[in-house]
Amino acid sequence: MFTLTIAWRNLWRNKRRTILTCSAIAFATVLIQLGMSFQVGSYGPMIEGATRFGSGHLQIQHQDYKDEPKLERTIPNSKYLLTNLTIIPNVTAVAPRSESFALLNNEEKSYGAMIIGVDALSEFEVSYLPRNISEGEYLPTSDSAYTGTILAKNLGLKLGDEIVLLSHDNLGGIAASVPILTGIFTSGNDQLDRSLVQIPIETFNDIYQLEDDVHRIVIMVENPLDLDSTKKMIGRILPPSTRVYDWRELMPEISQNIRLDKISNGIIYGTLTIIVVLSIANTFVMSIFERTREFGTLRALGMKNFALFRMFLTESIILWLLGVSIGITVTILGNVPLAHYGIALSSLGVDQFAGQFYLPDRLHPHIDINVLLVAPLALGVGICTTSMFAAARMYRISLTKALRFKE
Amino acid sequence: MATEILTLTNVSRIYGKEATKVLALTDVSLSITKGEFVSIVGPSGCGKSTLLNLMGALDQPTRGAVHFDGNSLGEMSRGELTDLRLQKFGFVFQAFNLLPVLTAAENVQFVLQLLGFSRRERQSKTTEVLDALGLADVADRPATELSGGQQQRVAIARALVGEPVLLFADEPSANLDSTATRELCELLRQINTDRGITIVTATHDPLVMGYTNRSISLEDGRVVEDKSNP
Amino acid sequence: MKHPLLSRVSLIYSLSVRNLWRQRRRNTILLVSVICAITGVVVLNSLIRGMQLQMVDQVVYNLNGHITLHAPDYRSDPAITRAFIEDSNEFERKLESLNLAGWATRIKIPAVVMSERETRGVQIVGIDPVQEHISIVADLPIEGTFLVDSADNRIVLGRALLTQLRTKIGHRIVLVMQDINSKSIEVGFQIAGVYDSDSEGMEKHVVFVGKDALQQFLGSESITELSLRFNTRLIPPNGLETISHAFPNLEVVDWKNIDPILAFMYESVNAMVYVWLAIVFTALVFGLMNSFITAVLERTQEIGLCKSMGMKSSLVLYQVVTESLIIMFLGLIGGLLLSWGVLQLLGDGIDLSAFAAGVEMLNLAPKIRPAIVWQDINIVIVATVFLALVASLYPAIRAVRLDPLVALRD
Repeated sequence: MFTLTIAWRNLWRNKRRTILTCSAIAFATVLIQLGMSFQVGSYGPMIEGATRFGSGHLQIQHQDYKDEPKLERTIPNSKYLLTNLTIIPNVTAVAPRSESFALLNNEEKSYGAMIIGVDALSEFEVSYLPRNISEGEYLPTSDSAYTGTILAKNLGLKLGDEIVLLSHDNLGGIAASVPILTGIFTSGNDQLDRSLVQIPIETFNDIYQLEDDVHRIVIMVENPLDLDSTKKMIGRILPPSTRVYDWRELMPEISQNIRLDKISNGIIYGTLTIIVVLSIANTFVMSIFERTREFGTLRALGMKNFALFRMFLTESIILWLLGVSIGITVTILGNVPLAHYGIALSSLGVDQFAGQFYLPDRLHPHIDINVLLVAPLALGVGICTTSMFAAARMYRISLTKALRFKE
Repeated sequence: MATEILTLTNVSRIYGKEATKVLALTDVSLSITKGEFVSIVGPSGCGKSTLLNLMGALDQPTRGAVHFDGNSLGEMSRGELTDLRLQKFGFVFQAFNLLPVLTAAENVQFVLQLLGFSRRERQSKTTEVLDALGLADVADRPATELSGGQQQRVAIARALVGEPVLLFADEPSANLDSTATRELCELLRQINTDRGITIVTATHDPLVMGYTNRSISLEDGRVVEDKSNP
Repeated sequence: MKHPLLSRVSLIYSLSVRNLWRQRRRNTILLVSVICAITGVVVLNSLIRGMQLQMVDQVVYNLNGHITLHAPDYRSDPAITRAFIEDSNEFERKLESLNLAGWATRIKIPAVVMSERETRGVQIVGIDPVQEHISIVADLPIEGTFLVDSADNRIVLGRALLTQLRTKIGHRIVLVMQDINSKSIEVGFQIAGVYDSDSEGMEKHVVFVGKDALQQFLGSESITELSLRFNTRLIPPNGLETISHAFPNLEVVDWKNIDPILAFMYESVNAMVYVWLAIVFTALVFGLMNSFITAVLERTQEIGLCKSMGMKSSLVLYQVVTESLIIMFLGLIGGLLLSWGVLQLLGDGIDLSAFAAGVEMLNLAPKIRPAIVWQDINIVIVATVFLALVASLYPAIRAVRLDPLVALRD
C-alpha cells in the first residue's frame, strides 16, 4: 500500500516530466496501434477479395496443373468429389471450374482470353464475380457468356452479340463455339475485366470434350483460420494424382505482400519503440539521480534492496500504465468512427488501383487484441528493462555518500 | 554492572586508493554502554560522521572490528545489516531526510510497515509517538510544509517508533536555531532517561554537548579525549 | 587580447561542456537516443529512396524508356491502325539537342500465339535490335540466338511461354494478329531463341520479332511507339515539355504515367520520407525536453545567484541552448557515421527474392539497394538543429523568467 502511495505521489512531484513521459508513451502507442489497425483492416479484405475473385480458400487441381496447365490435366469424377466435399466440416461452398485459353473473334478483331466453364449456381456462392454484374444477366442459358467490361469494350461487343471462341480441344481438334453475350461485369481488377469469359460448364465440357472432368474445384470455408485442418481432411478423400492447395500457394503474391508489409512495418514500429524507450530511460536516470539521498535514507532505515527496487519499478509501471491507457483510449476513440465509416481509398488517391490488390472502395481499420497489446507490451518490456538498469545506481553508490548527497 | 552494547576495536577507515588516500579514522577503540548519552565532538573533517556511520552499520571499517551485542558486524551479510538497522537502530540525520511525498504520520508509519506491523498497530503506535513528541497537530501535514524543528522531531519520531536499542544522530541541530536546538536536546535527554535508549550523536555544537553525559573528542581521525560530563 | 564576444562564446561553450560532463550518464543516454533516431531516419529513408529509384530504373529499362510517344488513340486500343510514320531523319533532328542515351522505335500490338497444342495471348514487340541498347533487351540472357536485325523474320520468346506452349527452339509457332486493314492474319515464325527474365509476367507475355519483318506482314510502314531514354536517372527539367513541343501530334507519356500504381508509389515515397522524419523527431522531442527542463531546474540556485548578483541570466539560457546544440551535433555525427556503417553492411542490398511474386506485383526490384539522397540528409541536419533549439528554448526561457528570491530559497 505504501509502495503504491509513494510511487504515485513521487510521479506527481515532477508533473511536467511525468506528463511528457506519458505523452511519449501514449504517442508511440497510438501511432503503432493505428498503423496496425489499418494493416489488419486491409489484410482481411485483401485476402477476402483475392479468394473471392481468384482462387477461393482452397482449391483442388490435378497435381501437375499448377506448374503446367494442360487441358488434359483434369480432376476425374468431379461430380462424386463435389458431393463428398460438402460433407467435410468447415466447408461452406464448392464450385467446379474448367478453363482454357481461346481466341475471341468478332467481325474485325480478335483477342486472347481465358474461357472458364462455371456452374452458375455454385459460382454465386464462392465468387464475387457474378455479383459484380453491371449489365444483363448471369449465365441464364447454356449458350450464354459473361465477360468483363474492358474485354467487351475492346471487342466492341454489346449484350446479345455473338462471341466467336476458337481453340484446341482435348483431342487436338479445333474447339469452336458461338455463345451470346448476356452479361458484363466490372470487378475493378483490370486483369480480370480484360481477360475473362465465363460460360456454363456443361457447354464448356461439350466443346472441349472433357465429359465430367474439371480443372479446378474451388472451396470456401466458414473459418479461414482453420484452413490447415480442413485442407488435411480434404487431402484424405482426394482421387489419385490430384492435390489440394490453399490460397497462399495459389496466390503467393498476396501472402508475400502481407508478410513484406508486416516485416517492414515491424522495423518501423521497432525503431519508434527504441527511441521512446530511450527517452524514458533518460527520465529514469534523472529521477534516480535526484533522489539519491532519499533512496539512501530508505536503505539506512532498513529497507531491503529488493523492496526499494520494487518501489521504483512500481513508479515505472504506473507511468507505463498511464501512458498506455491514454494511448489505448485515443486509439479506440479514434477508431470507432474510422471503423464505422471507413476511409475512402479515393481520398488517399489509391482508389484507381485498389482493385489490383483486391481492396474494397473503403478501408475499415480493425482493432483486435493483437493490435491493442503489441505496442503496450513492447513498451512495457522496454520500460521495465531500462528501469532496472537505471535502478542499479541506487546500489552502486555507497550508503554514506548517498545520505549526504546534495543535488 | 553496566553492559557494553557496542564495541569498536582498533578501527580504521581509509577512503580512496593509494594516491588519493584519506585516513578518516585511525585505530579507534572504544565501547558504548547501555543507557549512555554520548556526543562525538571535534572540528569538521575530524571523522565524527565516519565514526557514527561505522557504529550505525552504514559503513564498514577498512581495518578493525565493530561488535554489536557481541556479534561482529563485519561477519554479517548485507541483508542482516539491513535488518539490524531496521530493528535495533534508529537514525536522525542532519538534513532530516524525511520522505517529501509523505505526511508526518506517514513518514513514521512507513518504518512500522517495514517492520511488518498490521495497519491497526501502525496507526496506534504512530499516534502514540507523535502525541508524545507534541506533533499531533501536524500529523497529517506533508513533511515539506513543516518547520525545521518540526521536521527534526518527526525524524526522531520515525527513529523511535521501531523501539530501537541505539539511536544515532548526525549533527541533528545543524539546521536548527537555538530555541529549536534546546527543545531537541531536551527531547533527546528525555528519550534517554525515560525510555532507556542509548544515544550517540555527532555534533560540533557545545549546547548539544552540554546535554550529553559522555563526550568523545576526535582530532584528525584519532580519539584525543573521552570524558564523562557530570 | 581576445575579442569580448569571442571570450564570452568560449566561456559559454566551456561551461556547457562541463555541465554535460557532470551529468554524463544522463547525457550519454540522450546521445544514444539521438543517434538511434538519426540512424533510424537515415537508414530507413535510404532504403525507401533506393526502392524508389530502382522502381524508376526498372520501369525505364523495361521497354518503356523515360518517355514514350504514341499516336493519340493508341493507348486505349493498341493496334497497328493507330500508329505513326517512322521518319528517322526527323526524329534525329528533333532529338539531337537533348541529352539522350538513345531512342528506339517499336511496334507493340496484341497477338495470340499458337503452337501445335496450346494457345496463349501475348504482346508482340517489333524491334530494331540496333536501337535496343537503351532497354532491357540488350541484356536479356538468351538461349539460341537473338534477332540479327530489323528484317529478321524469326521470333524470340520467354522461357515461361516456351514451356507453356510445349515447343522448342527451331520449331515454328503461329501468331494471330490484325493487319493494317484490321483483318486477322496468321503468321508463322521460327523460334530463334529464348530469353530469361526476373519477371515471370514478361516471360509469359512479351515476344520479340524484327520490326521491318513485322511491318511487312502487317502491310504497314508505321510504328506504334517511339521510346526515349535520357543519360540521366530521371527526366531532366523541361525534358517533357521540349518533347511535347517537338511532337505536337503524338501523345507523350512519361514513365510515371505508364502505370497509376507506379506513379502513386513514386509520389508517396516523397511524402513517406518526411512523415517518418516527423514521427521519429516527435518521439525524440519528449526525451530532449525532459532532459533540458531538468538541466534548468538543477541550476535554479545558480541562476538565482547570477540574478541576485546583477548578472544577466541570459548566460544560463545560452548555456542550456549550447548544451542542446552540442548533444544534437554529436548525435548527428554519430548517427550519420552509424548510418554509413549500417548502409555499408547492407551495401549489397536487401534480398527480397523470398517475396519474388509480391515484389513483382509492387513493381519493386528483387533486391533493395539503399540510395543516399543528399537532400534528405540536409533536411535531417536542418531538422536536428531545429529540434535542438525547440527542446532547449522552452526550459531556458522559463529559467530566465525565474524570480531570483524564489530561486535562491529552493
